[in-house]
Amino acid sequence: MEHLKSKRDGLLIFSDYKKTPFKILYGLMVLIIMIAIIVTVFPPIWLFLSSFKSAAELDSPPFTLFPEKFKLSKVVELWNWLQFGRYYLNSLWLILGALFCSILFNGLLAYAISIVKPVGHKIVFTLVMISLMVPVILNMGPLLQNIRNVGMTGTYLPLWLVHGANPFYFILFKVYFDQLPKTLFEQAQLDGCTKFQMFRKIVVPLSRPIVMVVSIFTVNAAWSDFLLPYLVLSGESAKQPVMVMIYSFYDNLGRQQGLTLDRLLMIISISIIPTIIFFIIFQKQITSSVATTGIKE
Amino acid sequence: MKKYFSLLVILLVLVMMAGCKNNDKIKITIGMWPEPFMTDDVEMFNEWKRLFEEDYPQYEIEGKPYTYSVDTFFPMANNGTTPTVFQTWFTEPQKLIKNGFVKDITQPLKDLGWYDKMDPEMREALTHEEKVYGVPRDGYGLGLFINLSIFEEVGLVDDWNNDGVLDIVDQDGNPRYPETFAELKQTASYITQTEKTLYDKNVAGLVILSANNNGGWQFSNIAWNFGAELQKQNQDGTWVSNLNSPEAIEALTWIKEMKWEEETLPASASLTYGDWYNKVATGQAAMAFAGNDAISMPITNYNMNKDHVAFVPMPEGPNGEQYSLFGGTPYMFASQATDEQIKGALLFLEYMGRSPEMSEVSKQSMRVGMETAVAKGMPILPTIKPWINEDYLTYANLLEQQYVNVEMSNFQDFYDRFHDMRKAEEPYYTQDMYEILDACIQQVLTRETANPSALLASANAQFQTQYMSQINE
Amino acid sequence: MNKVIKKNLGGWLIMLPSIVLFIFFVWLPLASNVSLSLFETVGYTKVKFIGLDNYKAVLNDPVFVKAFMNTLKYTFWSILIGFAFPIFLALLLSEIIHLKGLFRTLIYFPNIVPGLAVVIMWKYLFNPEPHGTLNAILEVFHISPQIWLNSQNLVIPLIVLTMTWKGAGATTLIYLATIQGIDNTYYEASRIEGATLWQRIRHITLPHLIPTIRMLFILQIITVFQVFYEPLVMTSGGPNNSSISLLQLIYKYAYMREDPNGISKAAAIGVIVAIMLFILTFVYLKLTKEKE
Repeated sequence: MEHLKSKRDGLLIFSDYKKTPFKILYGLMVLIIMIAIIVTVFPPIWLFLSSFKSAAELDSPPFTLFPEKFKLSKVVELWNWLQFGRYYLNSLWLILGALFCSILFNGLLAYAISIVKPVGHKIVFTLVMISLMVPVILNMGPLLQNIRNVGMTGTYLPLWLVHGANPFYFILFKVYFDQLPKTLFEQAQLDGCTKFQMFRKIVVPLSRPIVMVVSIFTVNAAWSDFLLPYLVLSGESAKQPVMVMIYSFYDNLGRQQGLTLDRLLMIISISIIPTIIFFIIFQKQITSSVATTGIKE
Repeated sequence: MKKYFSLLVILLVLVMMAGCKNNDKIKITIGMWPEPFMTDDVEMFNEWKRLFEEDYPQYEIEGKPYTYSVDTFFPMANNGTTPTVFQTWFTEPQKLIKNGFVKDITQPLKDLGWYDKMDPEMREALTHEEKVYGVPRDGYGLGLFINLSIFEEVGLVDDWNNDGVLDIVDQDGNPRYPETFAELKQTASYITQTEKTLYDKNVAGLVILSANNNGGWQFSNIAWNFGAELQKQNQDGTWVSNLNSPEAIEALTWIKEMKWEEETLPASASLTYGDWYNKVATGQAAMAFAGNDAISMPITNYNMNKDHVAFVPMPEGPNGEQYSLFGGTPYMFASQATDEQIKGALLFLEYMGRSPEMSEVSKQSMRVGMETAVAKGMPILPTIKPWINEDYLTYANLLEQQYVNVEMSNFQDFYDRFHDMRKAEEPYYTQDMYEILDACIQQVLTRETANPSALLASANAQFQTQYMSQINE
Repeated sequence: MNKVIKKNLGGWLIMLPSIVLFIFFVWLPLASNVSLSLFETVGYTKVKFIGLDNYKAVLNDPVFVKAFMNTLKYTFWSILIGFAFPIFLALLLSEIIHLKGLFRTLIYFPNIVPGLAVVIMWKYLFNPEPHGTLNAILEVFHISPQIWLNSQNLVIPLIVLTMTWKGAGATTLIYLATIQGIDNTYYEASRIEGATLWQRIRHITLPHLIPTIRMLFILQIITVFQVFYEPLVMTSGGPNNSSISLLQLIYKYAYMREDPNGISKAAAIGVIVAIMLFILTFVYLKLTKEKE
């Protein structure tokens, strides 16, 4: 009960918890949260355990949670069989390019609109805001045609650059830049700094927190996205990232020898692991960036 | 800033340079090249590549694995990066031809003398306005796949001749499998009930696919056998949709009764291509409609005992009609390929053992293909042959007899009767018709109150206005 | 004039690359969609101007009507399931003392699992056979097995549930941050006035949450309009198209069907959805402005 004493603000405070009805209430609250946690944690655990079953075991009644045996060698065999490493390298390469584009282009545009404010910036701002909610798939056809017309089909370029035209990231940058003290820029202008110098010397050093936030969103998006890469890299199976590989595997499940459900579940388990590592490392930044920006992905 | 831009420019240049490697050889990209993880097959293909390039030094073979899928093909073809030769399904050619994505190869085929050796019905599927656009790899026919150990459990079959293999044909030569749809219903229902009462197990009597156009695909065969024609030609020559004939309604009603009266179908109403065999192989279902080209799947992927498998003809309908839906896998050629590339790609098929040529290299490749399949633990069974020239058939049959590793009597009836039963898929907008039929099947599988007649009537109207009305314009 | 150019040139140059990208990835495709939708096409080549014929054809497609109705259903269920729960959870979390950090992290965790992995995982959790995982759990409570995604009535709520599983943690954290930002003096004052717990929630917490609720509410609706890969992977839109979404139908028209005019019909649906999204976006922007 020592903990409870520290609870001095909010809806309920320490003195509340001393009363019996509130004690029951508190117990109920913890119970509900526990249930919520079980619901969030159970599916991935099920996935992980199921992936160690054999194809037949996975499908046969009766239901079991645990596999008959844990063969770690299955992971290694599957990894080697699919040459999974190259998909990870592809994904990494994709993420790096996406990071570069997303920070540079959205950052620059936000800098121009928020600070430099050239004539016409309001029109650009409105247009960007209008595109805020247009999902890529909505215009997939003409977009692929555009990509084809400039000869970028089958390459990573469009998959990098698309992150450079993201209204969400733009807004994040803009809101942040709007809050920077104006006097800094006025002073710099007096000192004869050009617009580019101002960006490099003032904006960039001050932008670390927001760059962090946008980076986290970008890494997550570039890692998770499969539709655009699936279509742009169709016919280029050597260039496909992990998610596209998983989708193709899923799409061909049972059509080819060796493409079985247990293996699909295992490659998904394996693909979640980097996400978990990333999450553990950047846990604080991730949860706080979500809370402060109000944007989920 | 300058730094960033120059970086970008360098990146651009690098990417472009990677695109064009110069080389004066004629490059042929092979789309049916196996994915890197199919190591046995890759080795085999590499050997074929080596032999081919030795004999034809002007060519360079490049493997570019591409698994055909409807959604990725369009962007790839539109971009002009289709491999020189790739593999697809028999429902696709007409669409690909109309969109101009594939190349007319009539002349080279005639030059090689392959045109007349091609199975005429398969050639028909690859033909548009007298021109041929592809080479068949093999065919398949729909039949009934049976898990014999379940049949044995409920006392339907036994190892009559005591050779360790369960037999679908008894000692008197009588087949023990359902030969009509009425019998199929009876057998399926009997299995479900018996398994329930004797062993307290949930076993579906039959698996019918129901999603991703597979439902419509299997339903057309069922409907045919009930006497339906799903697309028909009027006297004036126009084609119309005919999805709601009394026979088709009867067929859909049959499925509905299997589900709700006999309760002998699986719970899921969204079964796609591979889903039948996990159910049959794991003992959740006794029978399934399937193509004979997929018989090996439950055996290789689920370690099913190949001595517990039978594959028998599609049952006969109430009016004595009996068909086996016949489709297959063709090779097709990118529209942007040059005549030289086409010629090279066709010649490479010979090195893969996929041509009617009976040269030494071709024979050798056919044998290697067989050995690779054996090494992978696949059951060796007859295939539906794409070529009809005598020397090809003789050699192919000889090979099959040599390598066959299953009890043929459990399969014989299907192969014996296939030639007379086979019927090609409906000609127009086949996949789109399947999509619409899928919805009808899903409806009867998920709603006990579904009305097959009303469902097919609206499906018919939809298919006629959205698709069939366009071909007669 | 020269002076204007000179003064703004730097700014323009900075914006230029980003604007080019926006044109390339968003605005031009959007405009092409509008123009494609008015033509008869072969592939992407416009053959003949046909006015609104594509729109008529699409509106007459029974599947379009279904997809449209489904979108309303998705919206309804996502408000019912996905909306209130995170607020409730955030309230609980803010008052919990034990292991708060751990709870917060675990509840957020599904959000970072890639969407594709989430939907494939849930698809197989929803195995309709009696030995399926969820059915096995139901059996423990003596509930008869369900057919889950194969039920036309359950399919949309279950897909929404899957989306909620992935998204609710993040929404919860957003609410949690707002709740924790509430000045404690309000609570103290109300406590002195003898307000009950419910009155405190009703008169202090909720009013403070209203701007966030409003914003996330409309954001939720917009997200629902973008439902695509969830039904694509989990049900292929079935059974009998009872879970197909508008974007999925666009994809079908453009790439899956042999419809000779598929591309322009896909464009027509795209324009219809875009108009709906613009209206919603407009409302969203209005609301976020008020929040600020």
